[in-house]
Amino acid sequence: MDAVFFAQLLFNGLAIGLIYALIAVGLALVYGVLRIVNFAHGEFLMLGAYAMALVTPVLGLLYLPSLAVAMAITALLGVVMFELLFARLKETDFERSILVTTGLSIILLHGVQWIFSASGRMVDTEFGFAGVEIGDIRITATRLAAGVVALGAFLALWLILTRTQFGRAMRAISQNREAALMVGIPPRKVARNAMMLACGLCGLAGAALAPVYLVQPIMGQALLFKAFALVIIGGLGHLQGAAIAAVILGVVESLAGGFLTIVWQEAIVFVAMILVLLLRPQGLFATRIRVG
Amino acid sequence: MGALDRLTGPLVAAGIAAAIALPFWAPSPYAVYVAINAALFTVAAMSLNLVYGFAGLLSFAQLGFWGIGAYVAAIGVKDLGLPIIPAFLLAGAVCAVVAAGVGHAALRLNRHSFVVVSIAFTLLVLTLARDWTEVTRGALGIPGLGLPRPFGLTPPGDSYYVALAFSLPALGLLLVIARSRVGRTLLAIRQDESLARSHGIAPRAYRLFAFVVAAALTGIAGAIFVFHLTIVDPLILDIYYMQTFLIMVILGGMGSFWGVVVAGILMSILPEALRFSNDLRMILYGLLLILAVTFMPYGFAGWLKARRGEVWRRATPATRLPAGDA
Amino acid sequence: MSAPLLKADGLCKSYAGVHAVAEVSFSLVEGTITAMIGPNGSGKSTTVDLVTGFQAADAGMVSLDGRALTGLAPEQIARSGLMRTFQQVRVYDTLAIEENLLTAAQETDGTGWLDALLRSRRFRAADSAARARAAELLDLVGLARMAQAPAGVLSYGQKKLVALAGALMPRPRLVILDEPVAGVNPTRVLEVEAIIRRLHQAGQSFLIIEHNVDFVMRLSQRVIVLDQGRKIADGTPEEVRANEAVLEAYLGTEAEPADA
Repeated sequence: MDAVFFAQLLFNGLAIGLIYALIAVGLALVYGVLRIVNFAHGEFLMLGAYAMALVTPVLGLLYLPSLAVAMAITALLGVVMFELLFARLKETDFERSILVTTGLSIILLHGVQWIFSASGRMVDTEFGFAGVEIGDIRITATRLAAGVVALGAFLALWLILTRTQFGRAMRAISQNREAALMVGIPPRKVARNAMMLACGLCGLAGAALAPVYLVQPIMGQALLFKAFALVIIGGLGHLQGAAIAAVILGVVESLAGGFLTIVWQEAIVFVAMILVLLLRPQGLFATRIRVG
Repeated sequence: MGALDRLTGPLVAAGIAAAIALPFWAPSPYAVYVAINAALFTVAAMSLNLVYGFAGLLSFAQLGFWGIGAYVAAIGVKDLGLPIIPAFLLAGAVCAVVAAGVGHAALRLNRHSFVVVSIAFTLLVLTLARDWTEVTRGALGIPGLGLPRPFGLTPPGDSYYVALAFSLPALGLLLVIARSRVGRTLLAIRQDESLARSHGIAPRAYRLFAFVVAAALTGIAGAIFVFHLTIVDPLILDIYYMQTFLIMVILGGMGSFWGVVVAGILMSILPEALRFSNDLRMILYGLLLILAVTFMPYGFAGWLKARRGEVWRRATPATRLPAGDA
Repeated sequence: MSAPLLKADGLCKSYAGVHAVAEVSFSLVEGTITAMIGPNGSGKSTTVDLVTGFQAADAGMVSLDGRALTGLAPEQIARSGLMRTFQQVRVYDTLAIEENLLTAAQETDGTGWLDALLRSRRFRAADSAARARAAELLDLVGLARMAQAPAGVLSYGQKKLVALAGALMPRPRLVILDEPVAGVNPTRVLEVEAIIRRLHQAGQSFLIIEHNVDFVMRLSQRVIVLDQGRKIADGTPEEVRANEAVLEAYLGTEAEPADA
């Protein structure tokens, strides 16, 4: 096997895996805190990418400032959506929450498609098509940047969840809802913060993907289904599980893309999900099993 | 009560007569084309209603069965050399068997997990459709499908009668189930599973029945739909179809037969009549879905029923019980 | 003495090491009204759940007419002739009151799914018998005029009566009522009492779980007292009233039981 080729695939896979992780972690966070499966999560990714596409030319192609603006926009949208729609849902409205987020997903996707058309657009940044050489390995700068940004975002997320009051409140609610409510954690405020964080992370992922992928309205849905599978593999509402599964998937997909037919690259995650469902269904859903 | 109930019989008879005569009064072949969609979508929506509106299971697996039925029938005709009707029946049978297996396992889980597993199931079907190229031909799909033309009418007149010959009996079957004790029991289970169990009802058996019947009917509807389109490819598993069925069920009214039938027909016809662009139509659907779920959770039919409830409430202010002999 | 109608032997249930029900045994005689009382958290509702299969016991046996119920699902236990109501009233809100009652008896009327779908002769016979029974019970609880109204429009107390009538629909061997008058206004308590008394005169056996001690003392021939998951007394109302342990359990928590 060609070691350089292998290393190149590995790096590419890590970068894309970290982006997957940002999406999946947001989905898992919203499920953990709000008990909502957010079908519109992929659309926030798409909105992040479009925000990047619109903001970059205005900011003179500067990468990081554009990224920050895109992330802020999606985080703000997350808060708005929470206040408009999610805050009305009760915890027992599980099916209803799916219907509401499905409606939101339809509106956002077709709204963007209506305004900007279904065709894809390329996003240029200050890096252009420049690459970085590490030994014999060459990686495009935007891909490397995406990986570094995702790593930075994870570090920040970890600090928020472990070191800040509002992060600890989120963890408390997702781990033991009743106990958290009893010690007086305000559920609405925590839920709003979780939506802001999840949508911000997802928007960041979209913005980081924008220079690497083709930006188009349906980009969110394809990645959302992958993220669903990752969240199922990692355990519903389990952040680390989803993140680890995502990084592994990115690497495996990349390697499979290099050595197997393209067909397998897309199928891997769903095959893995089915295996997990078959092998440990109880483990997956243990926290929510009811009597009878 | 009253007026609407008494009118149901004549209205339905008139509706069926109008539907049968449609190719002769439709303004254009395109209108007949739209009517084919309406007939098939209404069956799929009403099947989803049986599973979600009656049995209380939000099942994204319906989309998977829609796709399985489509592929099985196409492969049956193209690769196995089956005549078309047996191929459709095979599609229904395969969906029923798969649903029995999936349902048997998934109905052990709680409602949240059931939804997630039903999504996973449909994603798996999509993966197979795209990637099991030896059988499904992958993204290229299986072209060259077509419905029989027994009457030699102006296209798509014959296809319309094929769709109607399936849809009317299928809706009839769903009506019988909905109106029977089985339908009532499903509603009871959806409303209060514990109470139903305390009444000796085994929820899983009833739910499995609804899931299997809905799968078989949705599968055949999907099969006829792709033969009408003349090609089956992975786009048959587009989430768009699931969203459409869901909106028909929600707007028509979960657990209501006529509500969903009317919503299925109107929502197939209206967007065409209004000549909306596809994006605008979907935006409108999305808005309607959110508004209905938020303000009218049991749809139009549920709203009507709630008003009847009000009549009872007003007619009997604090009903006094007869004094006991204590 | 004849064989007991219901026999519970050594029922145990604990949550995270805390004993909710510990070694509870009792038996009921056919044709009687037995009450089970106890302060909040004494394990009454858990005991009902263990007997009716809604929770699995950690240990212990339950039998009805000598047939073991242990390990059966709630629906199987209901079909074998042991019906129950719930502390938090439950009805099928969108179904008509008559349908609520019919649903409670359908699984034991000898008809199957095909009968129901095809409306066979057997089904029609069973259905009209069930409707007659429902009419009779609705008459008894005073809701006959409302038979076609959706149950959701009823008041809390009326819903409790629908639940009671539902439990009686299949002519069960035994009915367990979990707090039939909790949250019901005082004048209506007397009405519920009269209804239960009339059913008892017709031969119906009851086990009544209640907080309202006066109510059960008037109504029952026998009283079982639970405290902290254990049975502390079992006897006639008079015996229980005089029991030291019972007085202590109640005085520690709430009103004295015997304030007649």
